Amino acid sequence: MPLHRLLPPASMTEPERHLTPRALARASDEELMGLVRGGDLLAFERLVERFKVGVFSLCYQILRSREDAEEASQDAFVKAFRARESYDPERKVSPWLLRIASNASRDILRKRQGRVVVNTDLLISESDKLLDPEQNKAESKLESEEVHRALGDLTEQYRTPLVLKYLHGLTNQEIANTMGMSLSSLKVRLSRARELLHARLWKRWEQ
Amino acid sequence: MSPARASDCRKCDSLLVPYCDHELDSKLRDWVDEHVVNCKRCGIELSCVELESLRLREALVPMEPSLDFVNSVMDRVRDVVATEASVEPPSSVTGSDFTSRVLNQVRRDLGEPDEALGSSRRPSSWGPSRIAVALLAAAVLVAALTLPFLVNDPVEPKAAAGTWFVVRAENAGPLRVGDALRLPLRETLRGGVLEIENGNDGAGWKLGVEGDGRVTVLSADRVRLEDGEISAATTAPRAPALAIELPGGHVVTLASGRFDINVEDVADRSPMPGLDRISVRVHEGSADFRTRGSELLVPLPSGSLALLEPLRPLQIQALPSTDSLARLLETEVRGGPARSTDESKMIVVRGYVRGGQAGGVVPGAVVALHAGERVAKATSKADGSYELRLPLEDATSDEFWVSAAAPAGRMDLGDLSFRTLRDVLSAGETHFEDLRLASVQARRGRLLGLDGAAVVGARIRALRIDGFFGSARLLPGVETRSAQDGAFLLPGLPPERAGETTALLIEPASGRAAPHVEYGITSGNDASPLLVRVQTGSLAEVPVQDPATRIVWVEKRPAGIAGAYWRSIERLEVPAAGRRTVQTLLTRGSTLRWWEDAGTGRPSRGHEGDPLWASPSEVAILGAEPPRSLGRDGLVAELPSADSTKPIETVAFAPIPGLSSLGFGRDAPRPRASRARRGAPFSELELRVLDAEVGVSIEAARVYVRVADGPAWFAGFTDLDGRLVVRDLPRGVAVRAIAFAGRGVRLLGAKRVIVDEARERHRVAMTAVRAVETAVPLTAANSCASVRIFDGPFDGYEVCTRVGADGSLRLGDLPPGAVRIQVADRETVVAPDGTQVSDWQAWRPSQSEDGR
Repeated sequence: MPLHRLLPPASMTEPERHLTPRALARASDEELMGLVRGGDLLAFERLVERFKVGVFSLCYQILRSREDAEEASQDAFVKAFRARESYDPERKVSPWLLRIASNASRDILRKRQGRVVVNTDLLISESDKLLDPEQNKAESKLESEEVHRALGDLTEQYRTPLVLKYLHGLTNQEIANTMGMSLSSLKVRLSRARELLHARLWKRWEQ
Repeated sequence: MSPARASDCRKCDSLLVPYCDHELDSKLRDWVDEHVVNCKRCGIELSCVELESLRLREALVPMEPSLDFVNSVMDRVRDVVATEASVEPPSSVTGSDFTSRVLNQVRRDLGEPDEALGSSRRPSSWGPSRIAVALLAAAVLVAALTLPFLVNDPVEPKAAAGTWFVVRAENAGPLRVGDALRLPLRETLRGGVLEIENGNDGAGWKLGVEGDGRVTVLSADRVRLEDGEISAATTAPRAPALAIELPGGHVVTLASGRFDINVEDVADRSPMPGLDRISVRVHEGSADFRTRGSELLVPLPSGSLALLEPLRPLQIQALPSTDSLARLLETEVRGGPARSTDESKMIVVRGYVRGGQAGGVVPGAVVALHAGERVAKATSKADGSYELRLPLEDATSDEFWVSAAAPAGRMDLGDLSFRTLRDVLSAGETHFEDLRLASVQARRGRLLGLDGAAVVGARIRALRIDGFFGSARLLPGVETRSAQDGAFLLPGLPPERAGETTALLIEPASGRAAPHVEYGITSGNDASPLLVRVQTGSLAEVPVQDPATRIVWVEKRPAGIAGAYWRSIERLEVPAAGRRTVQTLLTRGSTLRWWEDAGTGRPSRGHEGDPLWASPSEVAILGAEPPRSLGRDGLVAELPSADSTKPIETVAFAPIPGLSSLGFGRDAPRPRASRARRGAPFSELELRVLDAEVGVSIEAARVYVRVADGPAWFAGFTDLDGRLVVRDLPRGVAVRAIAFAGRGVRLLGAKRVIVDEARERHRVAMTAVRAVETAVPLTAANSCASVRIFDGPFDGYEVCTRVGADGSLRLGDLPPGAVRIQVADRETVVAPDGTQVSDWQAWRPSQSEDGR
């Protein structure tokens, strides 16, 4: 088979569209995504590097399982690459990517309905806590775990906006765009999520 | 705790979370700061919320995926690339390896590094050249961090470009000409006249601050304006952009040119507290406006005026050259010229009339200020501006309304546009209201009789039906007649609002019969002609029972919701000999009642009957039962007095007195009957509007109220706590409140209560509107689908929608509650919160034929 027939479409291999690694490192997320739209795999790899922690953390907070989060975040990046043509260059990359990640996590959530998920991280932290000699640290960790557990008790629709806000630091408008809802609905949901957390957690602390 | 204090605490409570999340503008932040200092309870609450936010951030730590995460992703992505390239790999090689090899071969040919080697191929150790580069980068970084301090050092201001110097200072506090400003300013610039310049080489910006504005210079190219007005100008073609931070998180970025930016607190004139009106005037050059939370930059070209007012979207207008709105704003902000004694008693409303899609100015519009019984009128000038003046003593109501009627030549604009100015007008002050006339649509179609012949000369009017409040009104001035071939063009249909539908009232030239009502005529963008099968009326014989009866009054009401508000009355004389019947024309679906005079000359014996339609041309009246109390509550009740001998004549099709809301419709001023009578006990109704799903307050929801069967009126917006108080209500009457929230309408809530106590509190739960879509057989295409909610807070909501030409049926903006949908002779029920409609085969035969 002639070599030229094996080549990907021209847009994917345009030499002038590739940047040097240093230029890639300096490029903004949006510029990288512009290159990815042209099929630049190096640019996409750079994006994966930049967003792997954010995407994985979001998936983990939604799914509460490392294995599932790993699967969901990989799916999210692959879906993002597949959907690169639909990316709007006028918009920021992070909300777009997080939206895909959130949807990928929900897909897995639906698949695993009925399956019991054991949160290995929490088991490990419980044992760590016993070994921890410093009482203050242990208490602080305990509080964080309680928040972690209380977050896990929330349904996905309330957990996701909290994670996007307090972990990813997105603005309300960005969260609304990410979750595909109106700003006012988001505010309502955030407010309700905090109320639920308060009811489940802070009351216990106050006691 | 005093009510004012409690209200402050409630407000503070709702602001604590956005305060901790740094989402409040400086004004609200200051307010919270001040409040928590004075209120111990709120101070403690703030500490708790801060602790909550802190714990939440601590608990949500970023997590690392597995070490080979990136490689795994990239492997899968390369598979995707291979699939997309539609390459058929040989069976002995995997897609991923094969594609990678081919791609890498191509890359090698192009002189690029081999992709397959990935990061392992890249140098992992730091060679001497890298260390040199790193040292250079570190030096640059140190220089970049140090430079701003050097630049902002007041000791050597002239040496550095980009800082701000005072070039003019009159009564501007401690600032003197030549001073350099240390950035960011610790204190805001206030009072006097102050002019500062960015850089001293003529290549920067000049900023003028006058009066009591609050301006903070944040950096060489960033300024915060919290209140008052600044003028900004640069003549340098390559001056760096200057960003102005505005209250509410909005930012305007100025390119080179000349600008005036004004921030005015309109809290006292707005239904919401703590809101500002922002205007940006671009005299020369250009700017970009970014509203809070939006990533979109709205360009402001030269000669434009951007207005951002509370609860309204950003408006971009042409900057008026003559009777300048800019001057008007300045007058208002700075208190204006000295007023005469008369002026101080005058209510003055000024503004511009705009209209159409482009929002251009509309000269010649008739603008009116309604104050109770008194109305002041004016015509908009060539630049669209208007001014209305009304002496306060002339105002007989504490509610004021502005209306505008499009000029005669502007057929594309709505005839009337109303804006509420509720509780905001006061004498001696000028108030600004820009009125926007909505674009109107035209509807064309053709009228055919049941025999297929064109219906010629029929009078066609438009009826606007308010499904939420169950009222119907004729659209004033929207009228036409069908031509020789039955064709018609009905112009001037204003857009429908949420819960509204439009119907055509078609009265054949022959008159007498109740008009045909064609429901579900949208005034939207449907350009397809409408084919209407009109019933021109069938002759019916109405039985007369009392042998003494000489006169019979026949009341006919059209089918559907229009029949609840509109009717015609026909006065017929009973023939002296022959059959004891009177003859009249009826249209299918219309309802019938009649009164006999029983020899008294006045209606004294009432009946209602069911028409039996044997064929389109024959109808008989069955079961003439004496209805319950029809005599007293029917026509007799309309006589001037019980013993009046004034004859009741034939009445053409007309609204039923006391039931139809004419004129203003949903925008009506509050009707007098909705207030408690003078001296009588009255009630206050405190409504709290909540989201039914999550139980939190809804701010800025529009609330409409209706007392008994009177017209609905706009009662106001809910506050930060979702509260609204309706005052001065008569006791013991039914009050219905409906709340709308969201652009268009996304949330709806309703409450029906009878207020008996001096003050009652009720909650209004809001739910999302829903849409239902289904398909019906093509035989029902273009027919009217009757939709009725029959439980829940919207019990009685009724609309008629037209089935599409392809049999599709779409019902949007449906409130909660079980829905009965009736099409042709079948009906079905949709669950209270459902959107799924059963298959047409499962629809049951409908109970009644008239569509109600």
